Amino acid sequence: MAQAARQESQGGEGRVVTLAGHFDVHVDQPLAELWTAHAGAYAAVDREMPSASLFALICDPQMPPRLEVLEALRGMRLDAMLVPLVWGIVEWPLAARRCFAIVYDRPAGGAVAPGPDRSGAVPEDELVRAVLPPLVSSLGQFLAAGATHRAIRANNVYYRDGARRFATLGDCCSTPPALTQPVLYETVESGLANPWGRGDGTAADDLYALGVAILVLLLGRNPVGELPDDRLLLEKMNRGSYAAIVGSERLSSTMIEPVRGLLTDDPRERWSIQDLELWLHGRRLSPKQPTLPRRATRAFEFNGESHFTARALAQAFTRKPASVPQALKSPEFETWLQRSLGDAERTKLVASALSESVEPGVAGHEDLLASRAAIALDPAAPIRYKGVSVGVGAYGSALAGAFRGHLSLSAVAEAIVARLPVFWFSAQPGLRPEQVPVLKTFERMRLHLEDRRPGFGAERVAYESNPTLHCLSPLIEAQYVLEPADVLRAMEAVLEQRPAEEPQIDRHLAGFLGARFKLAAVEWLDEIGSADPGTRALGTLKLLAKLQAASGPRAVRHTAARLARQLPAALERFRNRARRKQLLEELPRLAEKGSLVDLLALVDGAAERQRDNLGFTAASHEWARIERELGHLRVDGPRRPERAALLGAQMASGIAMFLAWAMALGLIVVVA
Amino acid sequence: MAVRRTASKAVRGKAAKKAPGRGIAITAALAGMTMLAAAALPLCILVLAGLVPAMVAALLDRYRAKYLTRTVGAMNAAGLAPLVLQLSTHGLSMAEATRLLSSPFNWLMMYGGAAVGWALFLAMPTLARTIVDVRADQMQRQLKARAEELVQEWGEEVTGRSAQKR
Repeated sequence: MAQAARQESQGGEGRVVTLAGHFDVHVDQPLAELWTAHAGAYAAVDREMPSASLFALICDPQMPPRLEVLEALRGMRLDAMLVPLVWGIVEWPLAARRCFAIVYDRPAGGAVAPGPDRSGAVPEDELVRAVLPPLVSSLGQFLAAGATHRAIRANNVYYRDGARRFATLGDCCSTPPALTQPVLYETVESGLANPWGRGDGTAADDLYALGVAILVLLLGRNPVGELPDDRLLLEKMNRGSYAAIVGSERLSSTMIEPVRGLLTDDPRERWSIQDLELWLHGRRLSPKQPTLPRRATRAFEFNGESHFTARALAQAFTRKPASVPQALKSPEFETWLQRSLGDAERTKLVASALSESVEPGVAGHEDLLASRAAIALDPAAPIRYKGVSVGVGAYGSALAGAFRGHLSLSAVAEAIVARLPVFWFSAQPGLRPEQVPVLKTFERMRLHLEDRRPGFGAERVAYESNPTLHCLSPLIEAQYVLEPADVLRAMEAVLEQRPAEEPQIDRHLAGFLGARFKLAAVEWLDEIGSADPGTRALGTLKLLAKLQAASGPRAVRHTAARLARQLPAALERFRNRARRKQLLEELPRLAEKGSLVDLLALVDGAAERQRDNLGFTAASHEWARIERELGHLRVDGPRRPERAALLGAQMASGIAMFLAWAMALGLIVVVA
Repeated sequence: MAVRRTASKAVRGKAAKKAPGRGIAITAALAGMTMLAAAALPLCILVLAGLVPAMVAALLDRYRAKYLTRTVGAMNAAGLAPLVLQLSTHGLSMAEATRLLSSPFNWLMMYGGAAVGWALFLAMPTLARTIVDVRADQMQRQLKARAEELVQEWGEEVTGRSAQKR
């Protein structure tokens, strides 16, 4: 639902950007209390309903928004979630570029946590009476619809009303899922992943985050704020999340129950939304002791550190992959795995990881082996390869982040090409039917990644797996193009402002069009990758002309003029020099009209090309005939006197016969 | 002999072979002359004397189509024809035949005609050579001009000597 926006200047009221025709975003009225890590908040007004209190989030262009969640939220209109009223792309003057904007109902009561950084304590009574009931109810409906919030944290909960009676969850759509979540709010599995590699997750992830948010709101602070993320994760792994986060903090017996239930590390044992609703309705159970990960009877020494759990060892393997082959081959490891840890399933998976791995000596062997061993030891964890940790459902998001420089692109791509996701699925207990299409998607991704032609490769995979990732081609990146239909308009706008710029279809634009413009022929993309400038220019023209024919605009004068400058090389395909010259003279005139379709018809018209080909063939034949005749003349030279003698004799005979008959006739006439 | 120099070996070779009808023609000519001698001896003497150049030409002719014989013979016959007509108007008498053969002018007329024929036969090859050469040069120039036009119009690729772009 990319909706056109226009910018207006309204005298004394400051700058205003309009979205969807009647939502005015006031550029000069920022709302600090609603500002998020990757989106600026500004006052907004619906001109058709001026009394409504609204605000707009202007998203960081680096962050692909969650369009499918926006659609879901608008359709459900939940009480305790910010409801997006409209969204689209606006020309944002503060960034001098186009940005994605979302207009929400403005929560009038401000943040639930009253502190300056929205982390003040909320009384238990208020939490149980006013904050949690609407949140749990709305979250239940939201999760039941198959969506996940992935931005539940204490500083993202607001009061919807001025009287501060009804709480609501804040925005979850302006960034990829869980990207802004601190490790504190993430499960061990999600926390192990890079923020760009966390993915949509499941309802259990949201419930875990809700448990942490309840705890932080109760305490009014982060109880483990002083711990670095790595240390916190290790604590969670070794002691369990509840013990690691709550530690020695004192909670009321009422609140221990939900916090412990929600912070259970095993998602199967974690409280469901129904458990939480029952608790809110007064059901009280004795708190369950969380199941701790299986510990070995003795430690395994790896790289100077002692490890008691498979998960901790897997994490250590991915940090020091160079030492992994030696460790895996050591008899101590086998003994530790089979006897100390005593996990038969892990033992089988490790054997599988070793047997299917690449041969030693091949580049990257250690990284691949470490990654596979880590998957075997900790199948629930994300895939960790060359320092990049990505959940199996988040490779699209990871590629988007990699193209923005947040992750190593080669590591993300190599993990897919090395079929690590496939191995990850094989390590899970039982392949579910819904996972089969995901496996096929990974196979398709792998084929694309191995194809280095323009229109394929990592760019193609990034755009196919991120429907909300705008085109990152440097030429039109600032135009925030989400749909192929907008490419030409964006290109025209840029070329109008930059006279020295040339229209080019780089790998990003080719990948973007390959993924989203189904009318783009593979041959055109191949032509774009050609080393011959003429073929390249023609491929560019074909693709852009098809875009213009499919979705306009009807005239793109600047684009046409710049393309016309590249096209003389394409006209070299015409062999008839006169026609070529004529076409060259026609190019600028046609480019002025701005029709790429007409331009293409001129330089690549089928009838014209056929005529040229036929003409050339005829000319070649004629040339060959001339060559033959000249050859005959050369060969005939020495024989010419002989032929001349014969001809002379014939002529003499003829003349003599004629004269003789003439004299005979004359004589007859005289005598008669 | 000029005829021998200009005639091709092939033509001469062919001519050297005895034509299948040549013996028949000679036999027919001898029979005709015998009959003519029997019927009109003065006329036979006049014709035999007057056509000596044609007979020599027939002996020398190496062309299969007998161009030399035709040329010299036709002009020789043209020179002889008025004398034959004059003899026939005086009753084909021996006296008239003797009178005609004793006149140098008549000999000049008969043999002069043959000489003109021979001269024509000798001159024509030179003229024909000039015509053939001119025509060959003209054709060569036209072909080269057209070839140049093709290169101008379609580029060097049309000659097939440069790599084709496509």
